[in-house]
Amino acid sequence: MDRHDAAALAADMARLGARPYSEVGVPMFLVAEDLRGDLAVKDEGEPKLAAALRDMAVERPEPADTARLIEVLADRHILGADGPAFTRLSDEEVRR
Amino acid sequence: MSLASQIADSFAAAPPIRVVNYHNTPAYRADDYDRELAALAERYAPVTEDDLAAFFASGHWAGGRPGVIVALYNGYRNNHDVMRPLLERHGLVGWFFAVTGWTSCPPDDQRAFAARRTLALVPGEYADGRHALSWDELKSLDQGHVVASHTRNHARIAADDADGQQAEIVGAQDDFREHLGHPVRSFAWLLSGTWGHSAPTDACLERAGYEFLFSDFKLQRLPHARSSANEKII
Repeated sequence: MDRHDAAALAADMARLGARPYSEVGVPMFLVAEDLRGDLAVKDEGEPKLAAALRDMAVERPEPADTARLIEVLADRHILGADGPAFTRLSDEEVRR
Repeated sequence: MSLASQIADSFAAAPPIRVVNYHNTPAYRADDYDRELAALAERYAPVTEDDLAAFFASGHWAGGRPGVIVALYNGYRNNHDVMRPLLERHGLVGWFFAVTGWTSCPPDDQRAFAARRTLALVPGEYADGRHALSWDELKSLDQGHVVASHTRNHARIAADDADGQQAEIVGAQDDFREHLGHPVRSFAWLLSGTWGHSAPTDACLERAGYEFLFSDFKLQRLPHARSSANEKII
């Protein structure tokens, strides 16, 4: 991750952390885990998402940052590669 | 390896489940929610618990479109009044994680209940004092949406407090049985506990008969879950 991407990550983490969580939508990606053992999620994984998260984890390895990193990942990607960041749909400072 | 790297490995092996979490949904933010749900509905399919079980069983989302879970936590009345019509306008399914003790609490006592249990209220929102979903609203949401358990009291219980865990996990399910006429299939703990973290907690989850466990980083289908996607746990 270059300096520009690292700064963008830090900015997104700060921006998301400042949102009023009790009243806003928070996108997340959850690991699907089947503990029955005889069943398994068979769809192929998503290597681009995995690579993006690994890059973030190298930049911000602290365990306390994990949830925020996945939140940034989901915010950037849940509406697709060509879509806007999810929270940009509602952030007041963007709409003004 | 960091936790984030472990999660990245999981995403590389299997697709993550898309979730958007909400808590309070006051009317003055309805336009925001409308935009968000519209954007999700353009890209994703609604998800019921049967859809989720089928995804785990088959490895594929039915219909070919990936699903998105719109989760509404804490059982706020404004989830019914504000979000439900928006969800239905956009053809999405809401997952309403209710706190059964709060729902059963008389309206005059709900503000105090919320203050003791980290449930944020919107000032001045409901003049009649009822801020929690009612049982009638939950029964109505139970048709077409998902009603799920978010404990009985939204209380933080120590891992070694067996009686407390019994009340919050199994007791909440007892409340659903009494008022909805059937158990619910999904549970979200307060402190992000996953299956395998605490044996007493796991025992309570199994005793209660929950099938899906939501936590910060995982959505687990529990080992005692039945195999048929269409089979209700009784």
